[in-house]
Amino acid sequence: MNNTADSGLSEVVSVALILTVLILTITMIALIALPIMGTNAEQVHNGDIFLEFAHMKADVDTVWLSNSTNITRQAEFTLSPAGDRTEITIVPNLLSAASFGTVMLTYDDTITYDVDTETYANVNIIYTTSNMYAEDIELVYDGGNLSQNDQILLPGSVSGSERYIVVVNTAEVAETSISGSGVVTLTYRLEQIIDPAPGSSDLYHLCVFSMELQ
Amino acid sequence: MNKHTADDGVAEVIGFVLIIALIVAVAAVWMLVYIPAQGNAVETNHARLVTEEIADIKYGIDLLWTTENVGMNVSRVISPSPVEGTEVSGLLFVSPPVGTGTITVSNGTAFWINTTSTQTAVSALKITYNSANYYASDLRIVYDGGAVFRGQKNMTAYVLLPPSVGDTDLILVCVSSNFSEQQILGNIPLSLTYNYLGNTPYSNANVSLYQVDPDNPWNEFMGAFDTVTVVEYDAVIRGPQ
Repeated sequence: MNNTADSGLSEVVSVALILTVLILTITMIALIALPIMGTNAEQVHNGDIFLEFAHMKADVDTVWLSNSTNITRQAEFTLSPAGDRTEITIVPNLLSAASFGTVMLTYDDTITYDVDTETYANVNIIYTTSNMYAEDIELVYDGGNLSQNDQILLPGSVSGSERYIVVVNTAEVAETSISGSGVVTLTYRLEQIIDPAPGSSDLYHLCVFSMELQ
Repeated sequence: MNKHTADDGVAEVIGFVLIIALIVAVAAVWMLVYIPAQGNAVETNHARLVTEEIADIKYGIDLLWTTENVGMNVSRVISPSPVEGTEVSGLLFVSPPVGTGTITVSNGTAFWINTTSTQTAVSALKITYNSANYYASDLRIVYDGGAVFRGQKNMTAYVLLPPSVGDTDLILVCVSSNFSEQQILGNIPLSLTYNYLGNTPYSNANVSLYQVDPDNPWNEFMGAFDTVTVVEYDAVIRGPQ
Protein backbone atom coordinates (compact mmCIF):
# COMPACT_ATOMS: atom_id res chain seq x y z
CA MET A 1 0.00 0.00 0.00
CA ASN A 2 2.79 2.39 0.92
CA ASN A 3 4.45 1.72 -2.37
CA THR A 4 1.55 3.26 -4.25
CA ALA A 5 1.66 6.55 -2.29
CA ASP A 6 3.26 9.63 -3.82
CA SER A 7 6.25 10.49 -1.62
CA GLY A 8 5.68 14.25 -2.13
CA LEU A 9 2.07 14.14 -0.95
CA SER A 10 2.88 14.51 2.77
CA GLU A 11 4.73 17.81 2.19
CA VAL A 12 1.76 19.16 0.25
CA VAL A 13 -0.58 18.17 3.09
CA SER A 14 1.75 19.83 5.61
CA VAL A 15 1.90 23.11 3.68
CA ALA A 16 -1.89 23.09 3.25
CA LEU A 17 -2.40 22.60 7.01
CA ILE A 18 0.02 25.37 7.94
CA LEU A 19 -1.59 27.73 5.43
CA THR A 20 -4.97 26.86 6.91
CA VAL A 21 -3.74 27.77 10.39
CA LEU A 22 -2.34 31.05 9.09
CA ILE A 23 -5.54 31.95 7.28
CA LEU A 24 -7.64 31.06 10.33
CA THR A 25 -5.40 33.16 12.59
CA ILE A 26 -5.53 36.20 10.31
CA THR A 27 -9.30 35.85 9.91
CA MET A 28 -9.83 35.67 13.67
CA ILE A 29 -7.63 38.71 14.25
CA ALA A 30 -9.47 40.70 11.58
CA LEU A 31 -13.00 39.71 12.60
CA ILE A 32 -12.72 39.36 16.36
CA ALA A 33 -9.52 40.71 17.87
CA LEU A 34 -9.37 44.06 16.06
CA PRO A 35 -12.97 45.05 16.90
CA ILE A 36 -12.43 44.05 20.54
CA MET A 37 -9.18 45.99 20.75
CA GLY A 38 -10.70 48.94 18.91
CA THR A 39 -13.76 49.00 21.17
CA ASN A 40 -11.55 48.76 24.22
CA ALA A 41 -9.25 51.58 23.07
CA GLU A 42 -12.21 53.84 22.30
CA GLN A 43 -13.93 53.10 25.61
CA VAL A 44 -10.69 53.95 27.40
CA HIS A 45 -10.54 57.19 25.46
CA ASN A 46 -14.19 57.99 26.28
CA GLY A 47 -13.27 57.73 29.96
CA ASP A 48 -10.06 59.70 29.53
CA ILE A 49 -11.72 62.61 27.73
CA PHE A 50 -14.40 62.79 30.42
CA LEU A 51 -11.71 63.06 33.09
CA GLU A 52 -9.96 65.74 31.03
CA PHE A 53 -13.20 67.75 30.94
CA ALA A 54 -13.76 67.18 34.68
CA HIS A 55 -10.25 68.46 35.41
CA MET A 56 -10.85 71.45 33.16
CA LYS A 57 -14.05 72.28 35.03
CA ALA A 58 -12.29 71.93 38.40
CA ASP A 59 -9.44 74.17 37.26
CA VAL A 60 -11.81 76.82 35.86
CA ASP A 61 -13.76 76.72 39.14
CA THR A 62 -10.52 77.15 41.07
CA VAL A 63 -9.61 80.22 39.02
CA TRP A 64 -12.84 82.10 39.68
CA LEU A 65 -13.19 80.88 43.28
CA SER A 66 -9.77 82.33 44.05
CA ASN A 67 -10.50 85.39 41.88
CA SER A 68 -7.24 84.83 39.98
CA THR A 69 -7.74 87.40 37.25
CA ASN A 70 -5.40 87.82 34.31
CA ILE A 71 -3.61 84.53 34.86
CA THR A 72 -3.53 82.43 31.71
CA ARG A 73 -3.98 78.68 32.08
CA GLN A 74 -4.41 75.77 29.68
CA ALA A 75 -6.40 72.56 29.44
CA GLU A 76 -5.73 69.79 26.93
CA PHE A 77 -8.20 67.50 25.22
CA THR A 78 -7.18 64.40 23.28
CA LEU A 79 -9.40 63.96 20.27
CA SER A 80 -8.91 60.23 19.67
CA PRO A 81 -7.33 57.13 21.17
CA ALA A 82 -4.32 57.85 18.96
CA GLY A 83 -3.98 61.34 20.42
CA ASP A 84 -2.42 60.19 23.67
CA ARG A 85 -1.00 56.91 22.48
CA THR A 86 2.59 56.60 23.53
CA GLU A 87 3.09 52.88 23.86
CA ILE A 88 4.28 50.71 21.00
CA THR A 89 1.49 48.68 19.45
CA ILE A 90 1.50 45.99 16.84
CA VAL A 91 -1.29 47.44 14.72
CA PRO A 92 -1.59 51.10 15.64
CA ASN A 93 -3.02 52.44 12.41
CA LEU A 94 -5.66 49.76 11.99
CA LEU A 95 -7.06 50.55 15.44
CA SER A 96 -7.07 54.30 15.40
CA ALA A 97 -7.12 55.56 11.85
CA ALA A 98 -10.91 55.80 11.61
CA SER A 99 -11.54 57.29 15.05
CA PHE A 100 -11.49 61.03 15.65
CA GLY A 101 -13.20 63.72 17.68
CA THR A 102 -14.38 67.32 17.47
CA VAL A 103 -14.10 70.08 20.06
CA MET A 104 -16.19 73.22 19.67
CA LEU A 105 -15.96 76.46 21.59
CA THR A 106 -19.27 78.27 21.20
CA TYR A 107 -21.61 80.43 23.20
CA ASP A 108 -25.34 80.48 23.65
CA ASP A 109 -26.78 83.39 21.67
CA THR A 110 -30.26 82.85 23.07
CA ILE A 111 -29.30 83.63 26.68
CA THR A 112 -27.12 86.71 26.89
CA TYR A 113 -26.29 89.17 29.65
CA ASP A 114 -25.89 92.83 28.77
CA VAL A 115 -23.70 94.72 31.22
CA ASP A 116 -22.84 98.32 30.39
CA THR A 117 -22.02 98.16 26.68
CA GLU A 118 -20.80 94.57 26.64
CA THR A 119 -22.70 91.40 25.84
CA TYR A 120 -21.81 88.16 27.60
CA ALA A 121 -23.07 84.63 26.93
CA ASN A 122 -22.76 81.19 28.54
CA VAL A 123 -19.69 79.47 27.15
CA ASN A 124 -20.24 76.03 25.62
CA ILE A 125 -17.32 73.67 25.15
CA ILE A 126 -18.61 70.62 23.33
CA TYR A 127 -16.73 67.43 22.54
CA THR A 128 -18.19 64.80 20.24
CA THR A 129 -16.57 61.50 19.35
CA SER A 130 -16.65 59.77 15.99
CA ASN A 131 -15.76 56.30 17.10
CA MET A 132 -15.44 53.36 14.78
CA TYR A 133 -16.31 50.69 17.33
CA ALA A 134 -17.46 52.02 20.71
CA GLU A 135 -20.53 54.11 21.48
CA ASP A 136 -20.20 57.78 20.58
CA ILE A 137 -20.43 60.25 23.43
CA GLU A 138 -21.05 63.97 23.67
CA LEU A 139 -19.57 66.01 26.50
CA VAL A 140 -20.88 69.51 27.11
CA TYR A 141 -19.39 72.08 29.45
CA ASP A 142 -22.12 74.70 29.65
CA GLY A 143 -21.36 77.75 31.74
CA GLY A 144 -20.20 75.59 34.67
CA ASN A 145 -22.28 72.42 34.25
CA LEU A 146 -20.60 69.33 32.84
CA SER A 147 -22.89 66.79 31.20
CA GLN A 148 -22.42 63.65 29.14
CA ASN A 149 -25.08 62.60 26.65
CA ASP A 150 -27.52 65.12 28.19
CA GLN A 151 -26.98 63.78 31.73
CA ILE A 152 -25.51 66.30 34.16
CA LEU A 153 -22.51 64.73 35.86
CA LEU A 154 -21.02 67.77 37.57
CA PRO A 155 -23.44 70.63 38.27
CA GLY A 156 -22.37 74.26 38.34
CA SER A 157 -21.80 76.23 41.50
CA VAL A 158 -24.54 77.99 43.43
CA SER A 159 -24.56 79.92 46.66
CA GLY A 160 -28.04 79.96 48.10
CA SER A 161 -30.23 81.18 45.26
CA GLU A 162 -27.33 82.81 43.42
CA ARG A 163 -25.61 81.11 40.50
CA TYR A 164 -22.05 81.47 39.29
CA ILE A 165 -21.89 81.24 35.51
CA VAL A 166 -18.83 81.00 33.27
CA VAL A 167 -19.38 83.42 30.39
CA VAL A 168 -17.40 84.96 27.56
CA ASN A 169 -17.56 88.33 25.91
CA THR A 170 -19.22 87.62 22.56
CA ALA A 171 -17.37 90.47 20.90
CA GLU A 172 -13.94 89.18 21.91
CA VAL A 173 -14.14 85.38 21.83
CA ALA A 174 -14.35 83.66 18.47
CA GLU A 175 -16.42 80.52 18.05
CA THR A 176 -14.08 77.71 17.04
CA SER A 177 -14.36 74.09 15.97
CA ILE A 178 -11.42 71.71 15.68
CA SER A 179 -11.61 68.12 14.43
CA GLY A 180 -8.95 65.50 14.17
CA SER A 181 -7.08 62.85 16.09
CA GLY A 182 -4.47 64.91 17.91
CA VAL A 183 -4.51 67.17 20.96
CA VAL A 184 -6.41 70.44 21.34
CA THR A 185 -5.41 73.11 23.84
CA LEU A 186 -7.93 75.39 25.53
CA THR A 187 -6.33 78.58 26.79
CA TYR A 188 -8.40 80.52 29.31
CA ARG A 189 -8.02 83.58 31.50
CA LEU A 190 -10.38 85.12 34.04
CA GLU A 191 -10.94 88.77 33.20
CA GLN A 192 -13.41 89.78 35.89
CA ILE A 193 -16.33 88.63 38.00
CA ILE A 194 -19.45 90.76 37.60
CA ASP A 195 -21.64 90.54 40.69
CA PRO A 196 -25.31 91.53 40.68
CA ALA A 197 -25.91 95.18 41.36
CA PRO A 198 -26.83 95.80 45.01
CA GLY A 199 -30.57 95.70 45.45
CA SER A 200 -31.25 94.14 42.06
CA SER A 201 -33.23 90.94 41.60
CA ASP A 202 -30.51 89.49 39.39
CA LEU A 203 -29.15 86.27 40.87
CA TYR A 204 -26.28 85.64 38.45
CA HIS A 205 -22.60 86.20 39.11
CA LEU A 206 -20.86 86.35 35.73
CA CYS A 207 -17.35 84.90 35.70
CA VAL A 208 -16.04 86.51 32.51
CA PHE A 209 -13.37 84.45 30.82
CA SER A 210 -11.30 84.94 27.71
CA MET A 211 -11.01 81.57 25.93
CA GLU A 212 -9.31 80.25 22.84
CA LEU A 213 -9.06 76.80 21.24
CA GLN A 214 -5.86 75.85 19.43
CA MET B 1 11.21 -3.41 9.36
CA ASN B 2 9.02 -0.61 10.80
CA LYS B 3 10.28 1.77 8.15
CA HIS B 4 8.52 -0.22 5.47
CA THR B 5 5.12 -0.17 7.23
CA ALA B 6 5.05 3.51 8.33
CA ASP B 7 2.92 6.08 6.46
CA ASP B 8 5.15 8.90 5.14
CA GLY B 9 2.52 11.51 6.11
CA VAL B 10 2.56 10.66 9.82
CA ALA B 11 5.63 12.81 10.58
CA GLU B 12 3.99 15.94 9.13
CA VAL B 13 0.79 15.36 11.07
CA ILE B 14 2.81 14.97 14.26
CA GLY B 15 4.65 18.20 13.40
CA PHE B 16 1.35 19.99 12.86
CA VAL B 17 -0.01 18.78 16.17
CA LEU B 18 3.19 19.94 17.89
CA ILE B 19 2.82 23.41 16.34
CA ILE B 20 -0.76 23.65 17.57
CA ALA B 21 0.36 22.49 21.02
CA LEU B 22 3.04 25.16 21.04
CA ILE B 23 0.50 27.87 20.14
CA VAL B 24 -1.85 26.68 22.89
CA ALA B 25 1.00 26.62 25.41
CA VAL B 26 2.10 30.16 24.52
CA ALA B 27 -1.50 31.40 24.76
CA ALA B 28 -1.94 29.71 28.14
CA VAL B 29 1.23 31.26 29.56
CA TRP B 30 0.15 34.63 28.12
CA MET B 31 -3.22 34.45 29.86
CA LEU B 32 -1.84 33.18 33.15
CA VAL B 33 1.09 35.58 33.43
CA TYR B 34 0.73 38.57 31.17
CA ILE B 35 -2.96 39.39 31.70
CA PRO B 36 -2.67 39.39 35.52
CA ALA B 37 0.35 41.65 35.18
CA GLN B 38 -1.63 43.99 32.94
CA GLY B 39 -4.62 43.90 35.29
CA ASN B 40 -2.35 44.71 38.21
CA ALA B 41 -0.89 47.65 36.29
CA VAL B 42 -4.37 49.00 35.41
CA GLU B 43 -5.55 48.78 39.02
CA THR B 44 -2.34 50.32 40.34
CA ASN B 45 -2.71 53.22 37.91
CA HIS B 46 -6.31 53.62 39.02
CA ALA B 47 -5.22 53.80 42.66
CA ARG B 48 -2.93 56.65 41.63
CA LEU B 49 -5.85 58.36 39.86
CA VAL B 50 -8.14 58.08 42.90
CA THR B 51 -5.37 59.37 45.14
CA GLU B 52 -5.02 62.42 42.90
CA GLU B 53 -8.79 62.93 42.81
CA ILE B 54 -9.13 62.80 46.61
CA ALA B 55 -6.13 65.12 46.97
CA ASP B 56 -7.90 67.42 44.50
CA ILE B 57 -11.08 67.24 46.61
CA LYS B 58 -9.08 68.21 49.71
CA TYR B 59 -7.64 71.13 47.79
CA GLY B 60 -11.12 72.16 46.60
CA ILE B 61 -12.61 71.92 50.11
CA ASP B 62 -9.73 73.94 51.54
CA LEU B 63 -10.16 76.51 48.77
CA LEU B 64 -13.70 77.33 49.90
CA TRP B 65 -12.81 78.12 53.51
CA THR B 66 -9.56 79.90 52.62
CA THR B 67 -11.47 82.16 50.22
CA GLU B 68 -14.37 82.50 52.70
CA ASN B 69 -16.98 81.50 50.14
CA VAL B 70 -19.68 80.73 52.70
CA GLY B 71 -22.73 79.05 51.15
CA MET B 72 -20.89 78.08 47.96
CA ASN B 73 -21.12 74.57 46.58
CA VAL B 74 -18.69 72.97 44.15
CA SER B 75 -18.63 69.60 42.39
CA ARG B 76 -15.66 67.35 41.74
CA VAL B 77 -15.41 63.97 40.08
CA ILE B 78 -14.29 60.76 41.74
CA SER B 79 -13.72 57.47 39.88
CA PRO B 80 -14.47 54.36 41.95
CA SER B 81 -13.34 51.93 39.26
CA PRO B 82 -10.68 51.74 36.55
CA VAL B 83 -12.23 53.31 33.48
CA GLU B 84 -9.79 51.51 31.25
CA GLY B 85 -9.48 47.84 30.48
CA THR B 86 -6.53 46.20 28.86
CA GLU B 87 -6.21 45.74 25.15
CA VAL B 88 -4.31 42.56 25.76
CA SER B 89 -7.24 40.86 27.44
CA GLY B 90 -9.45 41.83 24.53
CA LEU B 91 -7.04 40.18 22.14
CA LEU B 92 -7.47 36.90 23.94
CA PHE B 93 -11.25 37.17 24.08
CA VAL B 94 -11.35 37.59 27.82
CA SER B 95 -13.49 40.29 29.38
CA PRO B 96 -11.39 43.22 30.54
CA PRO B 97 -10.59 42.87 34.24
CA VAL B 98 -12.28 45.94 35.68
CA GLY B 99 -12.43 46.16 39.44
CA THR B 100 -15.02 48.15 41.33
CA GLY B 101 -14.90 50.48 44.29
CA THR B 102 -17.06 51.99 46.98
CA ILE B 103 -17.30 55.66 47.87
CA THR B 104 -18.70 56.47 51.30
CA VAL B 105 -19.44 59.92 52.70
CA SER B 106 -20.10 59.87 56.44
CA ASN B 107 -19.22 61.16 59.87
CA GLY B 108 -15.55 60.61 60.54
CA THR B 109 -13.33 60.98 63.55
CA ALA B 110 -15.04 62.71 66.47
CA PHE B 111 -13.16 65.27 68.56
CA TRP B 112 -13.52 67.02 71.87
CA ILE B 113 -12.72 70.73 71.79
CA ASN B 114 -12.13 71.94 75.34
CA THR B 115 -11.80 75.61 76.20
CA THR B 116 -11.68 77.16 79.63
CA SER B 117 -15.46 77.51 79.63
CA THR B 118 -16.87 75.02 77.14
CA GLN B 119 -16.55 71.46 75.96
CA THR B 120 -17.77 70.79 72.44
CA ALA B 121 -17.92 67.57 70.44
CA VAL B 122 -17.54 67.80 66.67
CA SER B 123 -17.52 65.19 63.94
CA ALA B 124 -15.20 65.24 60.92
CA LEU B 125 -16.30 65.01 57.30
CA LYS B 126 -15.14 61.61 56.06
CA ILE B 127 -14.89 60.50 52.42
CA THR B 128 -13.75 56.92 52.04
CA TYR B 129 -12.70 55.03 48.94
CA ASN B 130 -12.48 51.23 49.23
CA SER B 131 -11.27 49.33 46.19
CA ALA B 132 -12.44 45.86 45.15
CA ASN B 133 -9.62 44.85 42.85
CA TYR B 134 -9.15 41.63 40.95
CA TYR B 135 -5.37 41.68 40.89
CA ALA B 136 -3.75 44.47 42.89
CA SER B 137 -3.88 44.72 46.68
CA ASP B 138 -7.06 46.37 47.91
CA LEU B 139 -6.64 49.91 49.01
CA ARG B 140 -8.38 52.39 51.28
CA ILE B 141 -8.01 56.14 50.89
CA VAL B 142 -9.72 58.31 53.49
CA TYR B 143 -10.32 62.03 53.62
CA ASP B 144 -11.04 62.69 57.28
CA GLY B 145 -11.49 66.15 58.75
CA GLY B 146 -9.03 67.82 56.37
CA ALA B 147 -6.36 65.14 56.29
CA VAL B 148 -5.93 62.33 53.75
CA PHE B 149 -4.89 58.88 54.91
CA ARG B 150 -3.98 55.96 52.70
CA GLY B 151 -3.25 52.31 53.33
CA GLN B 152 -4.10 48.76 52.44
CA LYS B 153 -7.26 47.30 53.92
CA ASN B 154 -6.95 46.01 57.47
CA MET B 155 -3.59 47.73 57.88
CA THR B 156 -2.65 50.94 59.65
CA ALA B 157 -3.09 53.93 57.37
CA TYR B 158 -0.37 56.52 56.92
CA VAL B 159 -0.80 60.26 56.53
CA LEU B 160 -0.73 61.14 52.86
CA LEU B 161 -1.74 64.80 53.26
CA PRO B 162 -1.79 66.34 56.74
CA PRO B 163 -4.58 68.61 57.93
CA SER B 164 -4.21 72.39 58.01
CA VAL B 165 -2.30 72.63 61.27
CA GLY B 166 0.41 74.85 62.66
CA ASP B 167 2.03 75.47 66.02
CA THR B 168 -0.84 77.70 67.12
CA ASP B 169 -3.76 76.92 64.80
CA LEU B 170 -5.77 73.90 63.73
CA ILE B 171 -8.55 73.62 61.15
CA LEU B 172 -11.09 70.80 61.48
CA VAL B 173 -13.34 70.10 58.48
CA CYS B 174 -16.57 68.83 60.01
CA VAL B 175 -20.17 67.95 59.29
CA SER B 176 -23.27 68.32 61.41
CA SER B 177 -23.84 65.72 64.11
CA ASN B 178 -26.91 64.34 62.31
CA PHE B 179 -25.15 63.94 58.97
CA SER B 180 -26.44 60.81 57.25
CA GLU B 181 -24.12 58.30 55.63
CA GLN B 182 -24.14 57.89 51.85
CA GLN B 183 -22.53 55.01 50.01
CA ILE B 184 -22.28 54.15 46.32
CA LEU B 185 -20.73 51.01 44.88
CA GLY B 186 -20.05 51.49 41.20
CA ASN B 187 -17.75 51.49 38.24
CA ILE B 188 -18.63 54.83 36.66
CA PRO B 189 -17.36 58.26 37.66
CA LEU B 190 -19.37 59.86 40.46
CA SER B 191 -19.79 63.48 41.45
CA LEU B 192 -19.10 64.79 44.93
CA THR B 193 -20.79 68.12 45.67
CA TYR B 194 -19.70 69.89 48.84
CA ASN B 195 -21.14 73.03 50.35
CA TYR B 196 -19.29 75.31 52.79
CA LEU B 197 -21.71 76.28 55.56
CA GLY B 198 -19.53 78.46 57.78
CA ASN B 199 -16.96 78.32 60.56
CA THR B 200 -16.74 78.49 64.34
CA PRO B 201 -13.48 79.51 66.02
CA TYR B 202 -12.44 78.36 69.49
CA SER B 203 -9.71 80.28 71.33
CA ASN B 204 -7.15 78.64 73.61
CA ALA B 205 -8.58 75.19 72.99
CA ASN B 206 -7.36 71.71 73.64
CA VAL B 207 -8.32 69.10 71.06
CA SER B 208 -8.52 65.39 71.76
CA LEU B 209 -10.16 62.36 70.25
CA TYR B 210 -13.72 61.75 71.39
CA GLN B 211 -12.85 58.11 71.93
CA VAL B 212 -9.30 56.97 72.59
CA ASP B 213 -7.99 55.11 69.56
CA PRO B 214 -4.23 54.55 69.39
CA ASP B 215 -4.49 53.48 65.72
CA ASN B 216 -6.13 56.73 64.59
CA PRO B 217 -3.56 58.74 62.60
CA TRP B 218 -5.15 61.93 63.96
CA ASN B 219 -3.38 61.27 67.30
CA GLU B 220 -0.22 63.02 66.14
CA PHE B 221 -2.14 66.26 65.50
CA MET B 222 -3.92 66.48 68.87
CA GLY B 223 -2.93 69.03 71.49
CA ALA B 224 -3.43 72.62 72.63
CA PHE B 225 -3.80 75.48 70.16
CA ASP B 226 -4.32 79.22 70.33
CA THR B 227 -7.16 78.91 67.81
CA VAL B 228 -9.11 75.88 66.62
CA THR B 229 -11.44 76.63 63.73
CA VAL B 230 -14.24 74.22 62.89
CA VAL B 231 -15.31 74.68 59.27
CA GLU B 232 -18.63 73.00 58.58
CA TYR B 233 -19.55 71.41 55.27
CA ASP B 234 -22.36 69.44 53.73
CA ALA B 235 -21.55 66.84 51.09
CA VAL B 236 -23.51 64.74 48.61
CA ILE B 237 -22.26 61.88 46.46
CA ARG B 238 -24.25 60.90 43.40
CA GLY B 239 -24.08 59.24 40.01
CA PRO B 240 -25.27 60.68 36.68
CA GLN B 241 -28.48 62.67 37.03
